[in-house]
Amino acid sequence: MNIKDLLSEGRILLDLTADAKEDVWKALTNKMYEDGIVEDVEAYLKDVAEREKQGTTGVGFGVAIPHAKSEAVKSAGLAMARTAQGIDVASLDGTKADIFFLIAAPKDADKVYLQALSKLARLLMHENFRESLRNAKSPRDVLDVIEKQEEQMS
Amino acid sequence: MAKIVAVTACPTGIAHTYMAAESLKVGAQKLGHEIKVETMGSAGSENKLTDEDIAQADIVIIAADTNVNTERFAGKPIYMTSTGIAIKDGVAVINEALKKATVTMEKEVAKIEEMKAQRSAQRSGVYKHLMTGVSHIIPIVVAGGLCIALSFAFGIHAAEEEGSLAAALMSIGGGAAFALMVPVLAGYIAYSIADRPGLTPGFIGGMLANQIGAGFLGGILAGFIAGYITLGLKKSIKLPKSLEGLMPVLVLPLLSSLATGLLMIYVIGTPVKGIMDWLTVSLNNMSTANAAILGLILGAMMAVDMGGPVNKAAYAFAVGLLGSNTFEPMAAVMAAGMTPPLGIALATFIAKNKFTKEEREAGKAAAVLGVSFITEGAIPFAAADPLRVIPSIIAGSAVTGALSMFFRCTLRAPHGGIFVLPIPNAVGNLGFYIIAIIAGTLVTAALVSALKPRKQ
Repeated sequence: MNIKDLLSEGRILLDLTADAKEDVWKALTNKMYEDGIVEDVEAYLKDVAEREKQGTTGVGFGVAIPHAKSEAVKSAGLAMARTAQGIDVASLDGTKADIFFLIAAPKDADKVYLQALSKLARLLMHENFRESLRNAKSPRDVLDVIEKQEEQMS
Repeated sequence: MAKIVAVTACPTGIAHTYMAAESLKVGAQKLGHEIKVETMGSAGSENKLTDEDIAQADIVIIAADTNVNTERFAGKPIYMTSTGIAIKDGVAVINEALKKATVTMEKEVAKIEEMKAQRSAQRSGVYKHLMTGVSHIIPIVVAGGLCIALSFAFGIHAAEEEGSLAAALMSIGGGAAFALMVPVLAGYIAYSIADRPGLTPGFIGGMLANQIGAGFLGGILAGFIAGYITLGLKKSIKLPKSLEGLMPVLVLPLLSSLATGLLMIYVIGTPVKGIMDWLTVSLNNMSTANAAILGLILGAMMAVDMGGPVNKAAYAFAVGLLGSNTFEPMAAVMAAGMTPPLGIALATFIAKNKFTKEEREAGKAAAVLGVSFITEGAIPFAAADPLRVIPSIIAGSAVTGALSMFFRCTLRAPHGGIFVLPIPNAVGNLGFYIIAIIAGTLVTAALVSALKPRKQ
């Protein structure tokens, strides 16, 4: 499974302005709704918030990976946002997040869900990868950066 | 360049597990070390470490926020940390680990203790139930057996004088503690099967086994019968909601005790008493040669899996016989359980050039564990080199078991290692008992030293 294949240019929002993490979730979920990944925006956001309650998805290094398996999801997909300012996500290392990956998966899609999450977690541990994401000029750039890193790690 | 193996794990088993793994990989790469990381995530273990990986590794890093079983890393230098620290700075963790992951005596002892706990937590089925019962009677039998031994310190017939301290010690040990042994054994076997409701029929069935004279064999049977009957009753009886409160205080205890008790009295008790009588009479009237053969077998059983099911079977057999005033097998079993780590420890001392620095340090730990009758102390060595070590320790233990039985040594307490030896009358024929232990230790040490190849 490739992260790149779960994303699309249309679901990459660069220099998004948002005050709170919930705003970011909403913006990304709307994009996934447009692409037919999420069928019910409110229901899905509720499940994301529920998951967040169990423990922060702010994994540190300025990155957050909010995620939920939900009845409201039709097929697995990913959306990414880069915010203009860092947003408090109660991350474990105290950093504010400016890079968000939102993972949506249907209720029964355990495998793709865990793979996406673990793959992202691995990718994000590479400093040059995070650097490149922050310097990306366009959604196309982001996809290229991800593709390159995935190739390197496979 | 060092070879490193690592395990990462976190409670949810997702992000942090993989982030820590990646961080360690990146760190190792930067420092020019070779690393393989197993991730224990919610999708199961990925990139699993093979026995070969572990054998070749210089150190083991465990970055986990949950309990990770370290049994397979016995004898390896281990460095423990959390996923959080590993994620923050993989390079630093690897440098720290290479500096600090050493085998020390204290760490080895702690590791073995932890491994013992993990092993007992992993037991299952009949074996688990039996060991739950046995582990609950050990302290009772230790206390009781040593009180009786102390009573004899006043003279072998001193307890017959009413009102004397010797008589008091005898009633604590023989009258109370040993009388509890079989009921508690049966009670906790049933408890392990059927949870709390098992205790009542188990205790009662065990008490009946005592009264009938069916001894520990009767107790074991009573425990299993009580446990499974209770479990069956619990599942099959459905009371209306309003009467459910009666289940644990009236219905279950009465029916399960009746069923267990009647079976014990009318069906099982008498034949088992026959077996038990035959067993104790034959054990007590055994020819010296047969006694030595029994000792040989019990001794070998103690060493073959070092605290595993075979070892525990021999041990439970000997402990059970204490309740029937048969003390020779207990002596043989404890002595034979001490020699595997003792013999290996001696080998690391006399054949220094055949062991690494880590192994020599682990040898000291084995000595400490050996004198405390913790046979598991031999495991790190056996795991690293089973084909040479296991036959060596079996030979040593068999010799010790046979000699202990041959000399008719007795032991009244089921545990304690060398620390029970100075207690008056705890061990019968003490001088020869020590000789038996030393002989097995020497055999194991000599074989291990001879078989092991020289280290470069």
